[in-house]
Amino acid sequence: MTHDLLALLALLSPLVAAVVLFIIAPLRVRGAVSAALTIGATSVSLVASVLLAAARMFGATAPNVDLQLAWLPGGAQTLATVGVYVDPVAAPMMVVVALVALCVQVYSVGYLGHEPSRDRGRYFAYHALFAFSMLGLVMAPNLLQLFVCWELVGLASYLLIGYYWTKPSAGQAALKAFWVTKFADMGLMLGLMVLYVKTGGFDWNVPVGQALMTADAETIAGLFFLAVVGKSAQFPMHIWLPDAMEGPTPVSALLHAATMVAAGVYLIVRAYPIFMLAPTVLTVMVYLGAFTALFAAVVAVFQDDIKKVLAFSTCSQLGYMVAALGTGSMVSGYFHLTTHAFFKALLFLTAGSLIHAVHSNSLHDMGGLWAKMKPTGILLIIGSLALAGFPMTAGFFSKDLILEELLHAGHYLPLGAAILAAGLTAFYMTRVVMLSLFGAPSEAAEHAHESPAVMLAPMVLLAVLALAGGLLHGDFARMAGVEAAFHVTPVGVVATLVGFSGIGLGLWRFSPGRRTAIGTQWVSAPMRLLTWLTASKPVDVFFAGFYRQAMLRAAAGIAWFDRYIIDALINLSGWAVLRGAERFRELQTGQPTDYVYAVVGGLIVLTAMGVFTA
Amino acid sequence: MSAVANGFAALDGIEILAVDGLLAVSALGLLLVDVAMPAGNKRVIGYGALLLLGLAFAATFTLDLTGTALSGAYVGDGFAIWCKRIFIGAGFFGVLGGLDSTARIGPRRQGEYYQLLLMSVLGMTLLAGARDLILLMVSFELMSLPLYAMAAWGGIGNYPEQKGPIPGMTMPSKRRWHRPAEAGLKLYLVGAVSTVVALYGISLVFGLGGSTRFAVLATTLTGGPLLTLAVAMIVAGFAFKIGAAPFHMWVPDTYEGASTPFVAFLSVAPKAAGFAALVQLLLGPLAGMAATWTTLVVVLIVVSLLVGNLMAVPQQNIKRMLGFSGVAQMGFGLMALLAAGSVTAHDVASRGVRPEGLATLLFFLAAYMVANMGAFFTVEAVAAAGYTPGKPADERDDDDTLPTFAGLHSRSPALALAGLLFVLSLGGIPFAVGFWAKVWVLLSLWAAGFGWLVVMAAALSAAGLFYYLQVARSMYMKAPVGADGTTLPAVKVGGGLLLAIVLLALLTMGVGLFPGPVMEAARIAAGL
Amino acid sequence: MTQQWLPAFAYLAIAASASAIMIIAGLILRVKAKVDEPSKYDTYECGEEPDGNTWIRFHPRYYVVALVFVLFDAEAAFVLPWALNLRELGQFAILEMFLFLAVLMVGWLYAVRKGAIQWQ
Repeated sequence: MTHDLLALLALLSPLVAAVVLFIIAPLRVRGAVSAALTIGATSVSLVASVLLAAARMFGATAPNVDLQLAWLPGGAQTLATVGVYVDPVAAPMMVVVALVALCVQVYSVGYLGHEPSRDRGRYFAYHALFAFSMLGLVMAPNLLQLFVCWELVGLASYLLIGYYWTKPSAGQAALKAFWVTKFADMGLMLGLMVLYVKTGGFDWNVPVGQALMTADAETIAGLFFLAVVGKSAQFPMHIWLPDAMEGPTPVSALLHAATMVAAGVYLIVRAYPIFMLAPTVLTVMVYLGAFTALFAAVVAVFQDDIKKVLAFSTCSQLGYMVAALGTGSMVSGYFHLTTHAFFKALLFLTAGSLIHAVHSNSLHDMGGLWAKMKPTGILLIIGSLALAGFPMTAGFFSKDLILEELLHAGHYLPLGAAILAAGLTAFYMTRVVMLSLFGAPSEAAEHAHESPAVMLAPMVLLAVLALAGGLLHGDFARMAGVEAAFHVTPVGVVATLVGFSGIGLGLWRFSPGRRTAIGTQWVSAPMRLLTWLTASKPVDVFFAGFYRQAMLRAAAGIAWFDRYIIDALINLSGWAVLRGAERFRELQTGQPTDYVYAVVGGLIVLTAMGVFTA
Repeated sequence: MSAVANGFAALDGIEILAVDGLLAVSALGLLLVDVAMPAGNKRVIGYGALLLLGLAFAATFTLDLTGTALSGAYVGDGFAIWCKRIFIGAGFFGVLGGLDSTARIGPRRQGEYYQLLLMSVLGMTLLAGARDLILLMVSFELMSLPLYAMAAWGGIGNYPEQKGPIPGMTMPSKRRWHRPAEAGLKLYLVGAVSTVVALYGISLVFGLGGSTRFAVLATTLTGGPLLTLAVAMIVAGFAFKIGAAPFHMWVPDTYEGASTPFVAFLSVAPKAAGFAALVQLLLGPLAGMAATWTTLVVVLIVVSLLVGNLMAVPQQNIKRMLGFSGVAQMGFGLMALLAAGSVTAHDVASRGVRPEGLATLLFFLAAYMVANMGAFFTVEAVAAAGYTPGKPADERDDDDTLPTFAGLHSRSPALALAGLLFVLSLGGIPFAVGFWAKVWVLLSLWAAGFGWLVVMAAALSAAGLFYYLQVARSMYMKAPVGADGTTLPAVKVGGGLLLAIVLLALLTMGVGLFPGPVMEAARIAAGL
Repeated sequence: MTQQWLPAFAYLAIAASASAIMIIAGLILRVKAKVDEPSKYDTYECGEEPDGNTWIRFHPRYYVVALVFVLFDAEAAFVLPWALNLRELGQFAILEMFLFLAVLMVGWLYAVRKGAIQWQ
């Protein structure tokens, strides 16, 4: 009972904050009030989430919270319900969402301190909406509610990417993110329809005795996976994620690194019973995930914008998760999601701190910041080590688990790609660290100063988790009903060695002595080709060409059909309606006697009808 | 004669009429208070009526009103209680939204208005459980007669040109002054004819069945030409009250002329009462004549949908437009009745059809009440803003027309949003409550085997979106500029009207988002 | 069906033809005035010389007084049969009649208070 209450509290407190802020404009335009409300609500959610999770992990086994309210009744049974559902799968994700959201919100107080009060108010209202939607998604008792929240999360993402709405590029990025993910969302919607037709409900647990045919499961899982590809930025629909970096950096940390993009992965985790029935889709997931992991890692190497590096890195890491889930091991993918949320959020926040100091996203404008910003520098290094999978950090455990699963499932080619990507990850993160922190300070870096404590404190909290989060791997395994203890395996050793060599290569390549004229260092001919090939340009070009050549032409055709056929029909019917109305209008004379005649006439007609049917 | 000999036996079970008793005492009590009060602004009587209606509404939830009373002439069941809630709720909102308007139209005569309204509600609540022809007809007339007077409210008497305006009253123009009288007269004339027709039908039923009790009539009525005639007359007579075409002629004129908050009441409560009477008769003693009356109802549905939807399109006066749209809505209500009447026990057994018609009707009536009252109150709020003191009287005649809604979004965002919600609900757009009502009605009608009617209704309500969205377009996509080029003023809504609009908007949206519990309640009320 | 409805149709036919015969017979038999007679257009008053127009305005006071009269007239229609049968009806009827009269009294009080029976 108390758990029911806690679950409701976790979900509804951000909703209350969001509704209050959206409705009561005087509160919203005051940045401080808005921030206090949102942070307070998220804190409540966090406390409730932690209590709920603690009772379900570390060996404790509290019963699931399952509160459902009939939403759409249809005939005898209920078509769909809404409510809260907390089981050992949802609980850790709730903590991740609430924790990262809280860290990011606190951080934003400092990061956006110079923004106009009215804009900050809007920003925190969106954050409250996001926290509610994301928690609603995590706690959804069925896939329909998950879908509704999925769309709400997309809306919050759109609003937050476009926060700097006066910048045209931000507006375009927001639109691009919206359309790409929206296109992918059609997969989820169609998948839900098929699911409903086949099982008569929206549950991920297909009722016993109503086993899905494999072909149906393949269809549903395939359609769901389309949505995952869009939301979790898998190749080739990853193109929106780098553009989404137009949003404020804390937004990138929360939505586009830790939680929202992971919603796709969470969908797979939630609908795992269905995915398990679809072996083809699982295989596709392994290969597409591994390819994205490698591809995005390569692209990340060539980015000069620190946020773009991290964005492609996110694509790459999401690829790991998708590949891991494709092997049939829910734990490894889900665990990586959790650890990644911590260290990637940390990395984005430290990047934000650097950007805040030099007022530029470019790595060239940084350099030598170590001297000015030691705390941020240490945090950046911790995050980078965790991402690179340095032994005993959180990323080490989770990545190791994924590689193990790939090996056990016998997917050797994806395994190779993943190990290579691990090396590249270590390399590009070393590059970021070396370029931004060491070497000769740039002009902007001369005037840099450390960020305020309100920004540092959340980062420290995340750093602790990035270092220690790996210790939770045993609990995650138990959650899935498997006992797992970490042990050194050959594949782990290989991956670690590859990671070390990536770090070493980076240290050598970008050592302060060698890093004169960094920006032009890549210009050797084969490198230039590789840069062009990988800077996600071809995909963008392809989509742009597809848009211009195919979609615009098709649209022109449809527009012609619409204008000359559909409109004509509509106009014709409209004309007919109006003419008909004119005729009828003449009957409405305004003379009471005529009205009485109408009554008598109607009576005669009815009587005649009655007589003829009698 | 045993019932007469032991008169007190007639009182058995009288406690289920507690709510009706409360209303009767309230109506008479308010009349006495009105008489005892010194002349002047009698606004306080409105508050009293509001309080008493609220009490009555709460009583329908707290008291157990199920049972039989008046020696079987009155039965309290789920249907009756649901209908009572609709009637009392409509009365409550009618008073709440009309507090200002009533005080403005006749500050010294408010007592009569509220007393009449309570009497009308009393007639309706009695009607909801009537199982006797005489009780049915008497309560029906008790409901109708006050409505005629209320429609003419404020329109009687000479226009006070020489004497100057009445203190405390904002003067409408002369044309507007007399419009309620026209509204009341038309309602009365057509209503009288229809009552006569229905009464003749009922007297035929009495003659053929030999009793006024439904329980007896159900066994003694056997059919035949005269009963066919009686059914036609009853259907025609009550079709007038619900405003189904071709008995709808009074609707637009009355709506246009009468005061808007009263129209908000008139457009929902008596219609629900008309449906209650039809359900009592057609699904009760006349259930055996279903083959006949379903044909008649189909005719009414087709004509109502056509006339209502087509005629609403060219209307410029929003109240007229809502009047015609109400005619089309009544087509939907009749469809629910049709579904209820045409699913036989045989269908249920052999085809597995769920007899949901009655439940859909109950849900539809509630949804229609909420959205339609809200729409009229929005009109009232916008029109009331036209009563600016400095504005010449003869310019205020067109306060209810579409152009006055231009740019309402920028003049009063919240009101525009509420108005949008109401028209979307009436138009049947998800996720407003009207959407579920329409979908449910169509589903149950489909199950009853009237596929062609479902297709036609869906097509015509799509056409109906045109005039509903015209209001939305006017509010959201037009500049707030009047026909003469002046900028339209901001709309300030306050007091009871604001409260009524907010409550109705919350209901429209809340039940629209969570229709489940209410639908379930309707199903239980219908005895499913 | 036709069998069943035959009497009804026959009745309708007889009714229609009766009216038709009367009108037609009137047309044939009536005395036609050679010159236009002004009294033909006068208001009809049974055997009296008409005095003025029918379309005159009555004071609404007549209407109100008539209404109050009907109130008590209707009351009498209920009270008389009640009084005749009181012995059989018993106590309940007495209670009921007092209730009825009480409601009526409220109306009467209202009428008095509103000045319905004062001429000025």
